[in-house]
Amino acid sequence: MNTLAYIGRHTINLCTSYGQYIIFLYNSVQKGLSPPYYWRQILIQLKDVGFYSLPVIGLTAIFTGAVLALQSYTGFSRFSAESALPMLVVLCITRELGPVIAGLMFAGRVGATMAAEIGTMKVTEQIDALTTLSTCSYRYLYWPRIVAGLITLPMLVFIFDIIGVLGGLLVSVAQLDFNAQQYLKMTEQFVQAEDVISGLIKSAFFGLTTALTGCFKGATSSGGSAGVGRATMNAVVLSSITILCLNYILTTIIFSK
Amino acid sequence: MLSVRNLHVKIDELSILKGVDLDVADGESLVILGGSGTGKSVLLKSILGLIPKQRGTVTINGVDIDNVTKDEREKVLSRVGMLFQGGALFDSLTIWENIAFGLIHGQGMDPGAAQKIAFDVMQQVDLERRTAFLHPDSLSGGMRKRVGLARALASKPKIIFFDEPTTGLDPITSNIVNGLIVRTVKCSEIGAITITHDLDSLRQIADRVAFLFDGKIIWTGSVQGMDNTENPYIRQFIDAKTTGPLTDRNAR
Repeated sequence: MNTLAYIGRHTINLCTSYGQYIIFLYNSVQKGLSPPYYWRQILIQLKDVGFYSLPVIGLTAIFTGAVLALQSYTGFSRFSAESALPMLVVLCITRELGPVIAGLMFAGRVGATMAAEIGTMKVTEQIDALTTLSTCSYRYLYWPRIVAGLITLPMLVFIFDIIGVLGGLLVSVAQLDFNAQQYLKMTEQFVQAEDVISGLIKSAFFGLTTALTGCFKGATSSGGSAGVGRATMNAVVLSSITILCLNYILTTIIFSK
Repeated sequence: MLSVRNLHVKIDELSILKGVDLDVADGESLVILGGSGTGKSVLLKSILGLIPKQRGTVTINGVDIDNVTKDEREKVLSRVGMLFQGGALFDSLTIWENIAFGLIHGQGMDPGAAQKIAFDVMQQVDLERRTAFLHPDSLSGGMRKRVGLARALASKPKIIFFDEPTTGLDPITSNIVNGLIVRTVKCSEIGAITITHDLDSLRQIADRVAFLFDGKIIWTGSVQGMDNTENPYIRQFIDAKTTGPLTDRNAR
């Protein structure tokens, strides 16, 4: 009986949380799309979320491309298929590694920042203060962050794709005796627009999920600094798991034909 | 001006307020006294709509805020200011931006005009102009309270709430903040509700005192009436006795 009660209680809690999450999304979109619009806040978030993520994304991309080239070369050389290396690097990066790794880095950096910042505002009554100053927290705080997540992650992934391919090229030329021009020509030959676009579509979902989860976890945090810490950790874990699950679902849908 | 009737609030199935009634007239300063955890802050927040209420009515300037359109409700509530316990200043903004926040973002005022008002209000609460471009983290506790007060005053409220305005301040700074509250309420003819545990502060700012216990206002009267009352709850609180009805669970 106790086990049943335990399962029941947790199921109800889980359903309640998902319900609150959906209501949060609905309120953010509904209020965010109606005036007043806080354009300056959106620009600030685009800068904080997008521009300041460039170093992290760039570094991750270059090393991902480099390691991918090294490891693939080892595998391909076993059956003399080294020439397929540029194709593998570009397809892996544009279709999977770009959106997923950039998404996970984004969840770690941006999701955590949003949850911690909004959570701190919640426990120090700054969000209550916003309301008493006739300012809607959905329009002023959450919507600009959600828009920034949705717009900037695809841009970051596009940059990740380029730098990742360059990372593969650098290692291939410097360590694996590839010809740079030949490598780039093969990359250009193999990559198609849909490979890149599919990654960008996926990343838009990942950006939306990360920003939404960060804002939601921050806005629902309670219990002082420990509560903010928990909210931050939950935001990163939940965003990362959601990215991996969504990646599978979206890959199945996009590449099912 | 402000009237609260039969206010009931529950948080996580726990009844915090169990039928609160209170009135505040124009230019009157009401102080709500009560032990820790009796729901004093919850009372202020439920009046402002920050915490949902189960039952009861809140009327501000004759407008029942639950029976009007959302726009009208927002308009009425925009004339209610609040000084939060910790100041609740926005860390990422400068002092003048904090003070002008409601004017710019809530009322859509031009930032230049809002800045001018912010500077005027800063003068009103004895904040030096040079602090205008600092951030809240570089201010002392007393200055943060003044900025919070200036922010609440900037939109010319008809009623203002003070949530433990002197908590954490030294006696001198507490006196300065109390003086500012008295001056604000008397000069601007606005109604005020202050929550405090600080009896010295209460004696400086209160026109009337209400005592909150077990989710209800159990006593109201003047400061003199409070000092002379034989009500065992008030006596225990004023005399800071560890035994008595406030600490006796059976009294609840």
